[in-house]
Amino acid sequence: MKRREKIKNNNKRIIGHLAARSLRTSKTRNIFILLTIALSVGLLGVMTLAYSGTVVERNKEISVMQHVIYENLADPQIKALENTKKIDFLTLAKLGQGFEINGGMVRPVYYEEITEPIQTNSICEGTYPQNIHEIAVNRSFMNLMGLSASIGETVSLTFLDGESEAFVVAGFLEGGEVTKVYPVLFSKEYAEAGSQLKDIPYQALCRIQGAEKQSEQAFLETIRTIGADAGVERKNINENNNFSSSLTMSAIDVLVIAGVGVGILLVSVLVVYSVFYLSVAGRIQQYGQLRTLGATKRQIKALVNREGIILCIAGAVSGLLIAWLIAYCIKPQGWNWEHTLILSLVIFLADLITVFVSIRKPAKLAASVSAIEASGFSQYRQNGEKESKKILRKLTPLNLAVMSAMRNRKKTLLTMISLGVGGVLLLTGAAFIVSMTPEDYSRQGFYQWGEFVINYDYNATQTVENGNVGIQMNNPLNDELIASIQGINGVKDVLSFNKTQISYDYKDEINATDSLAPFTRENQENVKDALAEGSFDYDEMIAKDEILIANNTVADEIFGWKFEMGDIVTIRYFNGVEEVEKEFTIVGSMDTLSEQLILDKTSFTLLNKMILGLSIFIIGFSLINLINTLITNIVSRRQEFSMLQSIGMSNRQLMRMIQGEGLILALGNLVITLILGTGAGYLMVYLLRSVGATYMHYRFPSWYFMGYVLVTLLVPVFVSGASVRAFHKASLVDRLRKME
Amino acid sequence: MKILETKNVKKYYGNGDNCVKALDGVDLSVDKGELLAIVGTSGSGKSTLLHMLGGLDIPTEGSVMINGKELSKMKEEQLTIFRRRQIGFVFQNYNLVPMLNVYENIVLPLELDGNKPDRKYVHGIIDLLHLKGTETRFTNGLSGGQQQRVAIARALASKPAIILADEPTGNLDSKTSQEVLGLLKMSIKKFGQTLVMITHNNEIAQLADRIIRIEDGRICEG
Ligand SMILES: Nc1ncnc2c1ncn2[C@@H]1O[C@H](COP(=O)(O)OP(=O)(O)OP(=O)(O)O)[C@@H](O)[C@H]1O
Ligand SMILES: [Mg+2]
Repeated sequence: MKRREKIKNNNKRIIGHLAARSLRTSKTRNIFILLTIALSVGLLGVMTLAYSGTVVERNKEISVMQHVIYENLADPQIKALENTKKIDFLTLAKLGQGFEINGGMVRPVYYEEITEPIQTNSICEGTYPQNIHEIAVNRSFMNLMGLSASIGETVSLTFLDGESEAFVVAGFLEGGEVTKVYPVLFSKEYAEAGSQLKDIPYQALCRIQGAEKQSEQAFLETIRTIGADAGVERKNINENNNFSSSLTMSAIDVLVIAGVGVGILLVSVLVVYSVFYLSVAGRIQQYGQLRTLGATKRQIKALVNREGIILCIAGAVSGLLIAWLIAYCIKPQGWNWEHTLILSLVIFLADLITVFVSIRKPAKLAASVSAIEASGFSQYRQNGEKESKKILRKLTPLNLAVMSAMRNRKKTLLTMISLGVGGVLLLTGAAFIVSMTPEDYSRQGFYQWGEFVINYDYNATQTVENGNVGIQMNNPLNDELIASIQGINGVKDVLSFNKTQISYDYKDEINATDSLAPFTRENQENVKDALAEGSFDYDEMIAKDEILIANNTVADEIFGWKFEMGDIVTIRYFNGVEEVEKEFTIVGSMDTLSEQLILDKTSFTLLNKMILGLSIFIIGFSLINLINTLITNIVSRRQEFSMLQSIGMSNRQLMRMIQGEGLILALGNLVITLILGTGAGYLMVYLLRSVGATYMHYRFPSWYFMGYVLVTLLVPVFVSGASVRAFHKASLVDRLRKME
Repeated sequence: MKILETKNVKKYYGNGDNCVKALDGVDLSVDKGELLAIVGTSGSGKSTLLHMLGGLDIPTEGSVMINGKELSKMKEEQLTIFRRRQIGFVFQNYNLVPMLNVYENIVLPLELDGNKPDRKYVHGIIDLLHLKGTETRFTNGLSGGQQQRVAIARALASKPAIILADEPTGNLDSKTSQEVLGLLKMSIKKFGQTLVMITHNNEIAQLADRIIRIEDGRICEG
């Protein structure tokens, strides 16, 4: 028993020794395996750590935000809220009616001087406005007004009602350098008595006790109960969506990361496998010798595995360190040691498993070498062929290349596939980049139909009698205007969208404002397609005063109820002569696509950024894989090449032969890349479109593909030249003796 | 007429304490048409000398001349072409190309030179070396002796001026050894070739015109 153990121990030592030796003698291969592992680990690391950073950063941001705003508050409600135990912190604010000055939107606001722990734009210079005549603004606002940015300056503001009032700038607010909305902060005194704010009800920004530990559902219930107890209506409860959605970690994000991670690991399996396979194939003779000398199959397997583990650890550690650095640079605010270490450990283990899976087959191959094979040089043992069919083939360098590829079909195919996977990834990543052009991306919403939107001036809709309808009475956007716009050179088409302002009574909503939009008979099929509930007949709708509800889910969000099919809604509108009241029956509802888009957008931008970064990374990955495979292919056959040279093959001929082999591999690779890469790219765009990324249009990444073709064809040329030159560092005799 | 000449050829491997003096000042000249046998104990430097003669390696010191041309003065590419035209090499470990079959291996140096092989001649050699029937087989399936004979056939196929053979009969039984040597002698007579051959076999060495012995990198009997 004891004896056996001893043998086993010795055994381990010699395996370790041999593995270390073997690693030292094949530096080029090691570098590439290290690079592959480091790259895949780095990619995984950057992805997960950057995501974790994003979450941590968001949580930091959220920690200085309100959880909920109770709006439209009267004094008793404020008292009730202030006395609510569950509210940790409460601060009051007012948001006045906005108006335009010199093309900028100006917003009168009031909030308390100290609002910690909720962050507001605080005073960075001067003082908080103390009396009714003092205000605080952004520096950029002074610019808008054409005044010098100094404390004590007098500003005259003309409000929507046409009244002008003069104020003294008491202080400047932080931030707001690149904004289109300019807040004007008034004093407490003005909020109570000033013309613009005195009739505006207060709102309360609150932080709720223990909200961070609740589920999204429980949190919403809590704030709604608090609101109900204080007499605040459901529609006046405005939860912080950023906060509430952070309570349920986005399942989609995690799924995407996991999916992409598995994809990366699968690719590295293939790359590590092919590199190991090539290197094992190049050393069959050595393994055979070891077998001759009495090494067992298990020992040979252990030897190959040992090499793999050492390389894996070295590659993973360097990959992780790089990932840490990059992740820190991307999200310095989101750095968190605990997350980093846990994620790194998971990635490390995943990669260890990957390497084990990758070298299983090559290790088996090495172990299966019989002692007899030690005598012959047999990279070619994979092919059972004993005889060649044709007697004489013309032995030009290019023909030799073809023969070499044919003689070792399995290896050739494997190399092509390994290259092809990289190419497919590259083409898919590139397809993503070119299919999502910024133009299309910014063309969401109205801009998907055109470049310009012409609508009513905001000030006018707020001031003209009867608002929107008042303007519509004498519509400036009439057929004449449309015709004249259409007449402008370069205008392709003018599309019009109509709606009218109404108010309605339904359930607890009395006199709520909203808008009504018509649709034409021609359009009814489209509307039917978008119908989520109910059904309609166009003529019956007209005859029986029936309506459809758009965005019923939004009603559910805001009011806590939905419009029910068959219910009656009382609608009031100005018909041009007088206010009329009419009852309509609800016959259907839709959840329109554009609304879907808005809902998905937050999770989508993250996904976009991730895929974009990933594409760039993957392009690098596949290029390295290309060079990697080609060099390994050459290096592992150094001895064979030396042999050819010893019987008179010149450098030029050798180079041409290596290039020929590279060309054969390149052609196989390009066929795989072109067919599968195009398919994969198309599929990706199709899938992305189906989840709402309608701004994606598949385009074949021709420039990227051309670049790839060029690299694929040029790399063998350079690599063959470089390796032939590198061969010359050692004399021919030495090279013949030495085995890689 | 001297076809091969070396002057004070030295080949040192490594440096300092690890320095191995594989050749330590060899002066040798071989006449055209001569059959020279090199003998010596294992590790004495025979293969090293043969490599120097064939321009496969560069001496640390001294010079090697073939037909009055100094090898070390030739450009690499020039030397390769010179080598494949003028020298047939039989390596101690054969150096057969695994992706080619027997026939292709034999004609490879010719083809690399852009020449059409003389098929009749090549088939003659194949016959004489008892390789008939193996032409389409791949070399890693052949026996050691068969591989050695393929290597010899390859060296003869291009009718080189000089044949350098490192233990060409090392793997052959005595009858086949005699036959192979007979073939080599016939060939050098017919084409006016020169043969330098390393051997451990005294019987074979006796068939040579001249025998030199190498010990510790030096020639000790002329
Ligand atoms: N590339 C090399 N690096 C270091 N030492 C070498 C190298 N090549 C040869 N030697 C050494 O030079 C000496 C001569 O070797 P060589 O191969 O010429 O011997 P040999 O006479 O052909 O022996 P054998 O009869 O066993 O073939 C040996 O001691 C050998 O170890
Ligand atoms: Mg020798």
